[in-house]
Amino acid sequence: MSLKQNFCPSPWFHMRINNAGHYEYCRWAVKDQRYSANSIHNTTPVEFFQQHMTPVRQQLLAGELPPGCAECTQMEQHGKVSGRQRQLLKVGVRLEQFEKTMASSPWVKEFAQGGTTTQMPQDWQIDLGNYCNGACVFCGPNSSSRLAAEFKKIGIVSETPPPNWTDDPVLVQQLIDTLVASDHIQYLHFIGGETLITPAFKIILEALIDAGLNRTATIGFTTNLGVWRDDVVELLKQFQGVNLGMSVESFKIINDYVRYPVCLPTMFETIDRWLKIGKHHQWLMQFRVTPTALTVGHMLGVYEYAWHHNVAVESCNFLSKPEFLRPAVLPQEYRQHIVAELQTWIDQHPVSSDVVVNTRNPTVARQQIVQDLQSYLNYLRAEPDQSWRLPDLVQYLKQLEASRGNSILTYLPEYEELFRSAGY
Amino acid sequence: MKNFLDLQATELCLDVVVNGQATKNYLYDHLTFDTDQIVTVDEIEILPKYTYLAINGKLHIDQPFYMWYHQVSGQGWLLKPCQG
Repeated sequence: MSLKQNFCPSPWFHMRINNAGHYEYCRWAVKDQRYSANSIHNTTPVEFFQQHMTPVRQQLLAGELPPGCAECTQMEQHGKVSGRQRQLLKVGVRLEQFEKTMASSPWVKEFAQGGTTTQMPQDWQIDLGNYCNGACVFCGPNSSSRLAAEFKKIGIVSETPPPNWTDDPVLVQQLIDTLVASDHIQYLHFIGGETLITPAFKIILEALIDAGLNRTATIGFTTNLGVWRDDVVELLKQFQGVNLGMSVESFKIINDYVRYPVCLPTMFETIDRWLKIGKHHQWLMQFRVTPTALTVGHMLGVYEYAWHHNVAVESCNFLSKPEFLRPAVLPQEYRQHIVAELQTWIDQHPVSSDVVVNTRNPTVARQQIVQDLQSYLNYLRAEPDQSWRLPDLVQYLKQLEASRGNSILTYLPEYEELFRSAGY
Repeated sequence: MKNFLDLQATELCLDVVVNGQATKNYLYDHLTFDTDQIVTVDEIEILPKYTYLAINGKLHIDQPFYMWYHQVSGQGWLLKPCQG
C-alpha cells in the first residue's frame, strides 16, 4: 500500500457514461470492474459523481488500489504512460516529485475532504452508443451495432445489447443540461460506435455551441476513418480545441481484415482530409492503435508515417479483451522478429529519454511516438506467453470468416503454421 | 508514505540553490530571482533556463513553485476545483 503507487485524482474531476447509459468512475477502468448499477435511467450524473464515487475516492486516499485500476498498473509496469499518470498531471502532480507536487496541487484541499466532494466533473468520457458502420475483429457488440448483428447471426451471442442511452432524446437532454450547468467543463471525449454517424454527437455539439461552451471546452473524439460528415466537421471547427483520434492498426493489408470493412484506400483518403483540416485549425491529432496478436507485427508503418507527419500515436491500454487477441498470445518465437524490428526502428529514431506524460503536447509528438512503441517492445519482451489461447482465437476467426468470406491466411501468410497448429 | 494523511503530516520544502548557496523555502512561497543568478529548485534548472520570463531583470514566481513550473514546462492543462 503506497500513496505514490496507487493514488489517482481522476475521480475528483472525471467520470464516464458508457454506451448503455451506465456510469463508470474512469475511462481507463477494467471493464469487469467498472460496471455500476447506476445509470442515467435512474441516477443523475451529479448524484453518481458526488455520492456513488465516494468509496473509490476514499480507497485512493487510503493508498489502496481499487480493482478497477489494474490496467493502469499494468501500463506502468511496461513503461507505458498510464491513465493515472495523465490524470495526475492534469492536477499538477508528477511521479518524480510526487509528494511535493501533490502538496502543491490546486486540488489538495479537495483531497483533504476525505473523499466527499461538491465538485462537478470537468473531464468527461461520453460513450454515445454502439451505432457503427465498422465491425473490427477486436471490437464487441456493445461498441458496434454491425458486429452485434453479425455475432447474433453466427451464434456468438444470443441477444444484441440493450438500446443505446442516446436513442432517448430525454436522456440526451438530461446530459446536455448537466454539462451546461457545470462551471468548469474542460474536456469532453466522445467515443461510439462511430462518433461521426451517431446522431447524438451532432445534437450535443450543437447544444454546447448554443450554450457558448465551444469557447472554453475541448472536444475529443475517435473516428474509424471509414466515414465522413461535413456537417459535423463544420460544428467541430467552432470549438476552441479539438483532439482528433484516428483509429488505425496498420498500413498493410491486415488492416482491412482487422478493421473490416474499412479498406486502405478509403482510410488513406480520410486521413488526408483530417490532416488538412486539423492542421489548418491547429487541432491535436493522434493515430489511435489497438495492437492485437494479429497486428502488433505490422504496426510499424503507422509509427513511421506519424513520425514524418509529426502526429502522435497513442494506444489507450494493453488490450485485455477479448483475451485471445492480446499480443501476448503470440508465442516467443513469433515475437522475436517483431521485437528486433521495433528495437531497430527505435534505435534509428533517437529522441530525448525524458518521459512524456503530457501526450497531448504536439511539440513532443516524436518523443511520444517512440515512447509508445517502446512500451510495446517492453510488453512483448516481458509479458508471459499466453499462446494457450490460440485455439480460441482460431475458432473465433473461423466463425467470423464463415460470415465474411475471407481468410486470415490471405493477410498473414506467415502465421499459417501457427494457426494450423491451433486448429485453423 | 502510505496514505493521504501521511502526506498531510509531512513537512515539505523546496531546496533552492542560488549561485551555489543552498536554502530551503516553503512549498507555497513566492520566489524572486535576479536573472544574473544561477538557480535550481529541487535540482530543476530555473535560471538561466527561464530568463526569458523575467521582467526588468527579475524572475518572479508568484504562485506555488510547482504550479508555476507545470505551466512553464509545457505540462498541459492544470485543472482547478470550482470555488463556488
